[in-house]
Amino acid sequence: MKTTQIQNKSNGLIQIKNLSKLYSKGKIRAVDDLELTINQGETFGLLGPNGAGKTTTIRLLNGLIKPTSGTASINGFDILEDTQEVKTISGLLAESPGVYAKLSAYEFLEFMGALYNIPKSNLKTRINELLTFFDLLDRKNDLIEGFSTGMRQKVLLASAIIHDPEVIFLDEPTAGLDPRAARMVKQLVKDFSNRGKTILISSHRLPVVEELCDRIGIIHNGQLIAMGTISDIIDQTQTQTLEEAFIAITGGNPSSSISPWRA
Amino acid sequence: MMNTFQWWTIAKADYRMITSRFRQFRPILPYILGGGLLFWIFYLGPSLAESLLSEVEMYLFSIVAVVLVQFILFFCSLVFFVLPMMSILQDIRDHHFENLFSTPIRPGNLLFGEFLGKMPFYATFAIIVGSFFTIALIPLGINVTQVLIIIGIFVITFLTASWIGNVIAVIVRSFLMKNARGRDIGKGVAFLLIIPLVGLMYAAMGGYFDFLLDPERGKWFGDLMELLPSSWGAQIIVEFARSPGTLTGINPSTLFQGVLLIIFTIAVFLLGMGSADRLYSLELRSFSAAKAKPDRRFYQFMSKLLGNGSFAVLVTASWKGYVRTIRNLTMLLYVIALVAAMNIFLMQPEDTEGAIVSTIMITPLLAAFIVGEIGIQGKENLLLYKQTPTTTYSFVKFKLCHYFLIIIPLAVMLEVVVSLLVPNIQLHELLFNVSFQLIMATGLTLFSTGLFLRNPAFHEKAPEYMINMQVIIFLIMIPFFFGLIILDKYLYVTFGIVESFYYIMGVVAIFTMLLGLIFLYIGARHLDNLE
Repeated sequence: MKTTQIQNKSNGLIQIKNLSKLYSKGKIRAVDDLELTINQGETFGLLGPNGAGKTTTIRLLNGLIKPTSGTASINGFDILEDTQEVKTISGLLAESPGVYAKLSAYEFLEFMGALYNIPKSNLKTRINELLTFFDLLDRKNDLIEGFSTGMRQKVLLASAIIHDPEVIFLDEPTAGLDPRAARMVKQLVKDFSNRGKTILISSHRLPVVEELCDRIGIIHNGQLIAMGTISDIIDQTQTQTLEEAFIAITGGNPSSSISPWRA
Repeated sequence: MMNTFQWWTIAKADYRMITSRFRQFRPILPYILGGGLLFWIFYLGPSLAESLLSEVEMYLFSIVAVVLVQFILFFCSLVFFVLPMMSILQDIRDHHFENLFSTPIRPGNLLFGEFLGKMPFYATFAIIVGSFFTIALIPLGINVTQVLIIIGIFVITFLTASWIGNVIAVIVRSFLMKNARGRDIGKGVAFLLIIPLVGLMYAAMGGYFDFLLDPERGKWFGDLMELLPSSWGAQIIVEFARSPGTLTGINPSTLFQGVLLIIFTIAVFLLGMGSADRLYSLELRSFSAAKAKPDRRFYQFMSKLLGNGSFAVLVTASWKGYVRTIRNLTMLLYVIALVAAMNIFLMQPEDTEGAIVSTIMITPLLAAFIVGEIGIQGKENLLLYKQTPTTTYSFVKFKLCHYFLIIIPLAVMLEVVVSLLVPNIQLHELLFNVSFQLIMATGLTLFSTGLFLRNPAFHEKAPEYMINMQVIIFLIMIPFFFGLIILDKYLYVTFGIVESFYYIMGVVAIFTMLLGLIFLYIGARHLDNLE
């Protein structure tokens, strides 16, 4: 463990300080001076239109990309200095991740578990637990290439939590899932929350965020423009629903500054 | 605690993916492969050589092998250098990196692990190439240790070349993987990489390297090759051939080259792994989306030519989609380069028949490459027209029109250029060649379209894609060579026709057109029923 752990850990498990990610010599501000604290055991929802900077924020926090300025700490580990430790204690379900389609579900989880350095003796039990939970045990030897979108998402979600991380980043966790599977994911998030895990969810699906999140932040053009509990935000905007509040805050016009170059 | 064997985890996963088709045999695969190779090197290969070649031939074979060892090592190193590059650039995807790099993996471990996973297959290929040398040298009396050292030299040399190719491809990929345009460029580059290899191969087949058989004339080439790591192990093989059965006869300078090869191998592996941190960046670099320009004169002309109606719009749109894909354009470039290499190095046409023979082998490839795009963007894309009132007949018609507009001018142009290389060609001969090529290109376009509709390939790596390609290339060759070999004899014996080439070409053209029409009908019917 490195010595850069930030001392006032109790203030928040995820502490984001003036985090910025600029592209094209500053012309595109994907994340703009983000300041945010997420407490231990909290489920925080990051909302925003397409290209608002949600995925970039998650990628920054997981250490996949480096910020232009500012920093953040996850459970005391700095995302710039202690990238490996940050990755060890966090799990990421990316928005559209690739899988090793020629591996079976079991082999893929075994592979991901080995990358997180889970001892072999524990790994087998853990994989079987997850496969049972996600209702995939009878398909564990099937190649992932034959799985539906929902089944792939389940495997990916299992791979993100295989090492039982302290912090979980979920980028559109219910995308492509049928209501039954989405329900399962929501239940999983609740279970994790009850076990004191810290969860950051980025989603377009307002009902999902409403159901799961203790607090939400609305991000627009890289800036955090609203934050609080759902009722706070509805009150602040003098609207009736989260959807109306979201439209009122973001102006109703989807941002097109970043989304066109998305591959 | 950080996992220090992450490269092993990656290698295992890669190996599992490569061998996913025969998962049941995975545990015994290394033994089957290893045992098979040993059996081939020490028993089957030498026995076959002994039974197929006379003693004199075997001796000559040994001498040629020794003389050409530097060139073979150089050429095969190039192949091993290019293969991983092609494999990586053909299928650039970055999505799984997001998943991988969300774990505490070190980029160097990923780079080495991915290579290590494929290494058994590269090594097998290297051993097979090396075994031809040991089989050639066994009659000279080389012993088992020498055989193993020779095989080792081949493996080290080729794996080093593969690793360098692998690292370079990963560097190129890091620039190209960020957007769709980059991935398309990667596919195009992968295609172009093969052109120098084909050129070199044709040059070797055309006798351009025969001077190597003369030690005096080939000395400068040997001296030049000495500078390349691919040759640093060659001298050991040559000295083994000079003093078979003993390891003591090796010159110290030769031994030094061997050591140099090992040091070079270790250095490039370490250098590659050390620089890996920069090779897997997920940072975005470009934010510019490709934009379509307003239709210029060419499209306006094409549209006018096709009647300015919806049919014209469909053909033009299909054409635009095709030419905006770099991979498609490099495929065309590849075909042109192939014709050029063939005519420069392999078979300069001496008569009109020669011109036809050299282009007839290329036209099926041209048709297959161009028509192969028909379903490549997925089933939904192919069946998109079914959501509209457009009929299958109209769809096939506008697709055919699009393909004709590319294939026919290109095929005719190639035929004209190759025919004009024939000394003193007459106008009527040129016209015959062009007409024949026109019919063949038309027939092959119909045939390819029909085949790709009957057996659609929804991805360029789909087995259907490769099968269709092979069928198009080889099926048309059959009547051509059948005509030249069998029909030619029949016409001569039965009707006393000596100059039967034109009759045979007539038969081939009719056969191709008929086959094309039949397959087009079958393909269109299949597409109509496809859901």
